[in-house]
Amino acid sequence: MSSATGDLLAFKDYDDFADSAQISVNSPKKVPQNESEPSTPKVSMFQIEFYQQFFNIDTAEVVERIVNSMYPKRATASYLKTNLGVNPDLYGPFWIATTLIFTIAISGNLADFLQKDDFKWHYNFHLVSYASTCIILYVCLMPFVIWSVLKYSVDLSDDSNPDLESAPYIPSLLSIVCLYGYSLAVYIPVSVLWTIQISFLQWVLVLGGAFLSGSVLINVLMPSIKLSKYSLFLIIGIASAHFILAAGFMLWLFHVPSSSSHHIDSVVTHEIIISAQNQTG
Amino acid sequence: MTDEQTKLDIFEDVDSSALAGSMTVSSKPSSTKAQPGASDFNSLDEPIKETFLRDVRAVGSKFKHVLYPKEKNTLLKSWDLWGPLVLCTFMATILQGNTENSRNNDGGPEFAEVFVIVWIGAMIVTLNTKLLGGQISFFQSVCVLGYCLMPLVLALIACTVILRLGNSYVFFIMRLAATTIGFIWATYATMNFMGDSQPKNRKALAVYPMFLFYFIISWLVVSHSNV
Repeated sequence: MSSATGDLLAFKDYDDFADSAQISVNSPKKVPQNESEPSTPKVSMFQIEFYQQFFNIDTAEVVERIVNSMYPKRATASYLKTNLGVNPDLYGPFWIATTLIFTIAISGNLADFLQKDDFKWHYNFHLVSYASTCIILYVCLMPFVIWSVLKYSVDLSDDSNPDLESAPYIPSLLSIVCLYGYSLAVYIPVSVLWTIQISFLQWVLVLGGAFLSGSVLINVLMPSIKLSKYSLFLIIGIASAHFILAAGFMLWLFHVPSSSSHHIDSVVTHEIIISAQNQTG
Repeated sequence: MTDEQTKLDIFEDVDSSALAGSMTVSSKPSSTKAQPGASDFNSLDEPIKETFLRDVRAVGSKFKHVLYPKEKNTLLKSWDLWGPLVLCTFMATILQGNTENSRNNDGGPEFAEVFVIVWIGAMIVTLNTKLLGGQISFFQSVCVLGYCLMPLVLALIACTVILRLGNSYVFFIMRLAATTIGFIWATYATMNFMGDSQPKNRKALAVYPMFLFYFIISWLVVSHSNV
């Protein structure tokens, strides 16, 4: 066959038809409807856009939330509902928790070094895994427990206007996680200062840090806690868990006598493991 | 069968001269479209040595751009992960703790732990940039973060040399100084490459994780005490 026939059979662009098709797609006027209802478009949770809504935050707002988590009485009673509940972010909780894990591991090593004062000292990288287990469990489990207790014990059936600021309100799980993540921020400077080997100062830091951020936690959660019949139980639980987290890390990694005994323990267990290995192998 | 006959068989009532005009018009754009994508050199018939050396030179020039961060397009436009792989493997080999003799155990990370910290760390930092709405592709960012480990690798080499000289207060200060310089250098180079990818009001949020990433690796470098 010749080239002339080939060209005859080749596809042609039908520009006119393409234009008319576009017009027919655009012609139904759906745009004003979308503008009237500001609902967020449905995005699958396997797309990155789904997670971008949890990182929709500016530097100034992150700084504001960190400051709010440390100064008691700075956040209003409706802070959880009007601020964190509206736009809960995961940027702060994630990076504050990560920073705290590494400051605890690094300054724990530094404290150990200062206690030994020996250049033959070896660092212990595996503090990172212990610290991360504790902190991630705390940030995930505590909000879940509080949220489920509130969900179980608060009855929202009374017909008060939900638009009012004082209306009963159960915070979402995400906003409690956000609140808890930011409440850890105070422990970052505290864990750095724990390296100073004065027992009295370490205890002051534990009590001060736990009081500052713990009182914000309780103050912010108070409107919801009051509705529950286990309110006293919840308050004691929140405060003591926050204190125990700080005191536990301090006694385990930074305090002089406990830290040295911990090391002896680890050496002993190492030797036991080795002797067991020798016997079996 | 001749040309004239075929045409007449298919389109009996169409004037053949009119069609000839439209044929050339429709066929022209498709032939020009194929041109821009084609490269002007052919790597099929060149010796393997040349292919290999070209890639090595590309990696080497990227290292140079990291150490002397002035021009930012080379690293961003043609990313590769060879450099990060080499740097990460080198660091993991040197940093890994001695697990054979438990009395000598320096408590350092395992080989795989360094690997995980570097790669997963770079991915998390990249994901953070993407989630904040940064205008950079995933592998571009991992490439930049990996290549910018270069100053810290140099610091690690310096630390290993200093450790062989001795282990006392003065030598520790020297190690600390070397690592601090490496850390500042790495962070500065990364900012230079990635600083523009975020809107102004979120720049600090994107930069902080990078700072943390290099800070953690610097901690590993300065704490390394196993010769």
